[in-house]
Amino acid sequence: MRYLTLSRHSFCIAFVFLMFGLLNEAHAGVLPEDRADALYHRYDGGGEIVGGWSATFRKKIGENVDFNGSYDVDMVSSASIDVVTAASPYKEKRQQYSAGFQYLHGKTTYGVSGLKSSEPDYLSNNISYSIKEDMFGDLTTVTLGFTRGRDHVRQHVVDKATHTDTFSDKFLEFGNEVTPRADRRNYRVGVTQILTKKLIATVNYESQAMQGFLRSPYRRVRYGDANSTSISYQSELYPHTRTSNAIGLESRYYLSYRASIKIGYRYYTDTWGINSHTGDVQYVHPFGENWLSEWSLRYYTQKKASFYSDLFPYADAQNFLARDRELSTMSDYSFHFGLERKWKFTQKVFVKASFFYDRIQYDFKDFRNNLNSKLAPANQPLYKYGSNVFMLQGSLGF
Amino acid sequence: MKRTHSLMKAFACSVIAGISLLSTASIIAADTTAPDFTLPGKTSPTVQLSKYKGSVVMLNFWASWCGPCRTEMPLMDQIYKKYAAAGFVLLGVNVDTDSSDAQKFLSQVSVSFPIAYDRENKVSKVYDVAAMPSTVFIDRKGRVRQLHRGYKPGDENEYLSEIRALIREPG
Amino acid sequence: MKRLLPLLLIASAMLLSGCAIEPWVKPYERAALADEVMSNDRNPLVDDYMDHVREVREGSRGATGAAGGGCGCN
Repeated sequence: MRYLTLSRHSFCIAFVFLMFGLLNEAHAGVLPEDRADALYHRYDGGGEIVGGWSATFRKKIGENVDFNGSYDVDMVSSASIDVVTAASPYKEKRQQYSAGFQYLHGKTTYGVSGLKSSEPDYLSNNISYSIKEDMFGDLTTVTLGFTRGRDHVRQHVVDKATHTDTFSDKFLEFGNEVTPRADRRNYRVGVTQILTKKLIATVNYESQAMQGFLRSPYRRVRYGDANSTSISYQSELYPHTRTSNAIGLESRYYLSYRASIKIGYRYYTDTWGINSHTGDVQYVHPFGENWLSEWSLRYYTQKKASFYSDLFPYADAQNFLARDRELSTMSDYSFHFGLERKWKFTQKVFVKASFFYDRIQYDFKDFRNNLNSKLAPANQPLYKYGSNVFMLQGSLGF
Repeated sequence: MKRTHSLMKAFACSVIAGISLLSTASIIAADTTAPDFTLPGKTSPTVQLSKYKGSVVMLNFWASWCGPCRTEMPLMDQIYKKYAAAGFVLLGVNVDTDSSDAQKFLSQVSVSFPIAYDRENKVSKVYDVAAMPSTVFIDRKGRVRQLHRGYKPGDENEYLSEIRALIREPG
Repeated sequence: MKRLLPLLLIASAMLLSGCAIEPWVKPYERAALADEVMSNDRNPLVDDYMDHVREVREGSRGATGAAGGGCGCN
């Protein structure tokens, strides 16, 4: 399919015109209310257990400027199938920091923020810009966003002889030394439209271009005869670019007894050959003034990347090789439940406690569970597993 | 093909973005006679605007579900108490379709100025309410003098200067 | 002529923007829309975390309304 690319040219034009919002002297918009949230989260599934917590806050400075920041930490005590079949289980800590400002002028909000994510073997630095504008008597909100990022991959190497840990950042590919960097350019356009007194619709479009070292240094592909137990492995090899386009539509409707229902759909496609469809439905139901529940179902299905295979016939079978199960033909369906209790003190000040649970079931159509190497690939079962996500959140409005 | 797509995108972005140059005009302009109305009241069976001729009237359109509206209520009450004796009336026109929400709010945050219920939003429409809250300042002769849209902290100072100026004028 | 086309499109867009469109949902009719149950932003931290959980395990990303950024996932 010939997909649309949001070129820098048209994006700049849109940016310039939204800057004209500076000339708009009509009644001003408002910045969101101050709030702080802290979240404890725990994921377990497929042998992985990832626990961590996140915190975020937003504070207005005067009426036109606000400052926001967030921090996330994840402790991965992982023994996922990738790791177990290729290496030994490990513990790893991921930290993410972000901070940003927003400036409101008339009906336009300008934002800039920085995000840094770091693990011992992966570092990502990103800067984002956004412009949001309310139009048509505040019935329409248009948001443009742009993110530029740079990732730096390292490989964790354990020297068994000297029992030392090092992180190597020079890899060999086809005998050439490559510096594992990746650059990211991400463009987003979102339009939220109030259709009736009870109905809101949103369209989101996102395009991302990545360039550089885009694979995991640890993962390998396998090759051989599907009916044989002697299987060989070689390093993955990915293209050096990946361009993706995604479009999402969602609509939320107010039910007169005080509840809402939302349906959403997203289509994704990229230059690696992955096409996916996501559908979800959410129902929000409050109980009285202080309690609120949310329920949702989500279904996701994707077609594999063109260079993905669970088992290649022989070594160097293709120019590009991947066995990352995220790039395989797969689907997942999930159920989400949330319950919140709010204590309101004044018009603005509140305290909220929330609990969330997700159950996600993954189903791989062309990735086999190769934990048992005594089985020939043809006899290994297709991989599937279920996971549970628990979250506890405390929120404060002030 | 790629170029056409690029141009289409540019056009779409420009239409959406260029509309930021729009400004909405108001039907209720300054120096026109404030349209009269009669609405059910909170403490009296009816509230009629023309009965307040001779006083300075500050008409405030508010809703129980509107945050800034709720924030400015106590401040407006202070203003009302200060200038009522000088011939000033603050008239709170509530736009909730279900008045029970408004009554619930008023039982928590009581105010001494008159409240009228515009449940069918007829008066809101006549006054072309284009933001929540909206405040209309009417002079002693019953003419619209100033429109104020929205509320943000500090706006009460603008209210005060407008009220003081209008109070000084003869009826 | 081809070079002028983008400029013509922009100019016509600006002229079109001169046509005022009256909002069909008035500010005083937004009681339902202002209700918390209609917010898409009640728990941004939870939404961001769940987006991350999915991004790490699925081959797709984006168009969810959340901000972009690297996640350190490989």
